[in-house]
Amino acid sequence: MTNKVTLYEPTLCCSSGVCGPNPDQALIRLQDTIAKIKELGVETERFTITSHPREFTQNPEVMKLLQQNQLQALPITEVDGKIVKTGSYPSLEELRGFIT
Amino acid sequence: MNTDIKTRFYFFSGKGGVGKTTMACATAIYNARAGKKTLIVTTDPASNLADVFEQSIGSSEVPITGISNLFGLELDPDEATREYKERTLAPLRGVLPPESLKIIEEQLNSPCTAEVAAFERFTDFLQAPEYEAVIFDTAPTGHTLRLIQLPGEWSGVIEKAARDGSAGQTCVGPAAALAESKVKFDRALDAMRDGARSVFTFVLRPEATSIYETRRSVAELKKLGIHSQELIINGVYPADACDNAFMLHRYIKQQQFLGEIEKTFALPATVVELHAGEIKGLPALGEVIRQLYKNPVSLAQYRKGSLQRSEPPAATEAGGTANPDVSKLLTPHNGSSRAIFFAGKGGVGKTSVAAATSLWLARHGYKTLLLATDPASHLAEVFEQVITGKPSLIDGESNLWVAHIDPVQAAREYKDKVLAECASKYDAVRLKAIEEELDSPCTEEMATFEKFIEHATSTGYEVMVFDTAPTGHTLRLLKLPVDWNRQLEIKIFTTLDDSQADKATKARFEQVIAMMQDSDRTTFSFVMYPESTPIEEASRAMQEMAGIGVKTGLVVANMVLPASVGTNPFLIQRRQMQQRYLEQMNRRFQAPIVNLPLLADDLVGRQQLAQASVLLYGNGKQAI
Repeated sequence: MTNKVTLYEPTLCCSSGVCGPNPDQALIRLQDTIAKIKELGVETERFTITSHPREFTQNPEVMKLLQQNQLQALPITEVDGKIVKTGSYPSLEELRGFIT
Repeated sequence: MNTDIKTRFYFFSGKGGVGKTTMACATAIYNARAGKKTLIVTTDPASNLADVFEQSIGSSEVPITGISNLFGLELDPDEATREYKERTLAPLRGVLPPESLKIIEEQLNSPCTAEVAAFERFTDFLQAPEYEAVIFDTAPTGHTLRLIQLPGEWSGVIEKAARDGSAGQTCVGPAAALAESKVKFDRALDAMRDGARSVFTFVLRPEATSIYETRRSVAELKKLGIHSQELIINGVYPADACDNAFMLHRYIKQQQFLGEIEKTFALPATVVELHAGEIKGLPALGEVIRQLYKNPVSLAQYRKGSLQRSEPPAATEAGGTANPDVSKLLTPHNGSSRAIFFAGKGGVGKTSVAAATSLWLARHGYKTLLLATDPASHLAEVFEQVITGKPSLIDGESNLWVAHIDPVQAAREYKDKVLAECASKYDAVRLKAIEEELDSPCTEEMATFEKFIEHATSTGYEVMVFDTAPTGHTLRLLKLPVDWNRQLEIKIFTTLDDSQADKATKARFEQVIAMMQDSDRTTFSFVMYPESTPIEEASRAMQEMAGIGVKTGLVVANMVLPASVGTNPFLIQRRQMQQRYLEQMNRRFQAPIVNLPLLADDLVGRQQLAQASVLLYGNGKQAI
C-alpha cells in the first residue's frame, strides 16, 4: 500500500538551512531521512507556513495545533492524513514505524 | 496598446561617483521629451535620484514633476521586503494566533528575504510592456554585476531543485511554485542579451581605476552573453580651464588616459566635459543632454581635436591643510585593537583614504590589517601588488597587511567547510544534494558576511582598517550581524535542535556588534568630496548607523581644491562651490573633519600614499 508523508514546517530559507548563519544539522538529517523513505516508495510533501499558507489553513487539524501550541507545534508530521508527530522532525526509525 | 512597441532597456553602470545617475537621468529626460513613455528605475539602495529631480520618489512609479511621459521609481530593498512580507502574511492573518504571526513576521526579516524581494522586483521591470523606454540607474559595479548574474543563477537553482525533488525548497521559495519565476528569470536574461532591446552604457572617468573597473565589467558582461555595450567618458577637463601648472598636469594625464581608453575598448564612446558647477536640477541636465544626444562628440573626434602636449610640466605641490589632530581616533587604546571603517558614496576616494590611513598607522609601528569588503575593490592597483583573500604583507613594509573579501572565493571556502562538516555523517548521494543546495546565490552573500565576521573578530592585528563598498551595500553588510542575531534569537526560541551551535554563532555576532558600538574600539568614518550628493548620502547613512548604535567618529573631505589653483573663472567657480559645501559639512557633522586636497596624480604606490597620509594626519610628531 502507498504511504504519503506530509511535513508542515516553519519558515526556512532553503531545505537544509545551509545558507543561513548556521547550517542546520536537523534539516540536513531530515533531507537524508526523506531521501531514504522515498527509496521505500513513500511519497513525501513539504509545506512551509510562509510559502504554502493555504495548505496550512485548509487543514483543520494543523490549525488546531497551531491555535493550541503556537509555532512550537511545528514541524508537524502527517502520515496518510493522520498527524503522528508535532514539535520536532521525526527520525528515520520513527518514520519507518509510522509507515505500514 | 500598440503591440509592435518593444520596450528598450538602457542600463547605466560604472564605478561609484562617475556620474551614472546624471547620465541615466539625461537619457530618461531625452526619451520622455521625444514622446516616449519612459521609466527610470534605480537599483542603488543609496540612490540619488530623488536629489537630482528634487522630489521624493519611492518604491512605486510616480510621475516626475515638470516632464511629461517620465516616471521614476526607487527599488528600495526595505520597501520591496515590506511588500513581499505583506503578500506572504495576508493569507495567515486572522487564522493564526497573533503571537505566531508576529514571530513569522520577524522570521521574514531574514536578510535572505531582502535580497530575494529586491531581485524579484528588478526582474519585474525587465518586462514592462507599458513603457517604451526603461532606464536602469544601477548601483556601483560590483553589486550590479551580481544583480545581472542572478537571473541565470537562480534559474539554474530552481531547475535543479525541481529535478532532484528530494526537498524542492530554495531560498526563493519551493521549487514547484517557482516554475513561473524561472520563466521570468530566463526572460530577463534574454532581454538583457538582445542588442535590439538592451544597451549597457558604462560611464567612466579618464583615470586608472575607472578604466580598470570598466575593463573588468565589459569582460564579465560578455561572459554572460551581453554584447551591446557603449561608453560615456565623463568629467573631462575643458582645455581652457587648465591654465596653471597643477591643472595642466592633471589635464595631460587625462589626455593620456583618453588615449588608453581609445586603445582598450572597441566600443562606441561619447565624451562629456566637466562642468564648473554641480549637475543639479533640470537646466544643468539640459547641458548634459546636449552633449550626449544633440551634439555628441565621439572619443575619436575629441582626440583629433584636442591639443596635444607631450611634456607634462612639473606639478605644483598642492597646498597643505591645517587638519585637527585625530590620531587618538586611529590608534588602539587600553590593550584592545581598533577598527576603522571608511564608508561613503562610490568614487569619493574610500580606498585611497583607507590605504593612506593604514600605511600611516603601520609606519607608526602598529600591526595593521587593511581589508576591502567591496567586491570591486582596486586595492591591488593602489599597492601595485597582488591582493588575495588571505592577508599578505605589503612589499617593503613590516607592519602592513592587506586582504580583500572575494565573494566567489569566500563562497568556495564556505562550501568546503560545510561539506567537510557533513562528510563523515552522510553518504555521497546526500552530500551531492547538500552541495547543490550550497550552489544557491545566497551562499555568496552568507560567505562574504562570514568572512567579514571572521576578520572583525580576529585578534592578530592592533588596527584593522575596512575599505568598504559604496554606502548602500555597506550598510547592509554592517547591519547583518544585528539582523542575523535577531534571527538566531527566534530560532533558539522556536526550535530545540542545534541550539548550542546557534548560541556560539550568536555570541560571535554580539561580539562584532559590541565592537562596532564602542567608540574606544571602533572609528566609523565617512569619506566625501564637498558636493551635495556625497554629503546627503553620508548624512543619511550616518543616521542609519546611529540607529544600530554606531556613532560616526571621523569625516574626511577629499579632493579639496587648493586656493592656489584658482587661476580662471572655471576653477574659481568650482572652488567657491566646494567652500560652500565644506561649511555645510562643518554644520552637519559633529565628528572632526580632516581635509585631503586634490592631488596632482592619482594615489598609486606607497610613496604617494605616504605623502597623502601626512597631509591627512601630519607627520606623527603629535603624541600618539
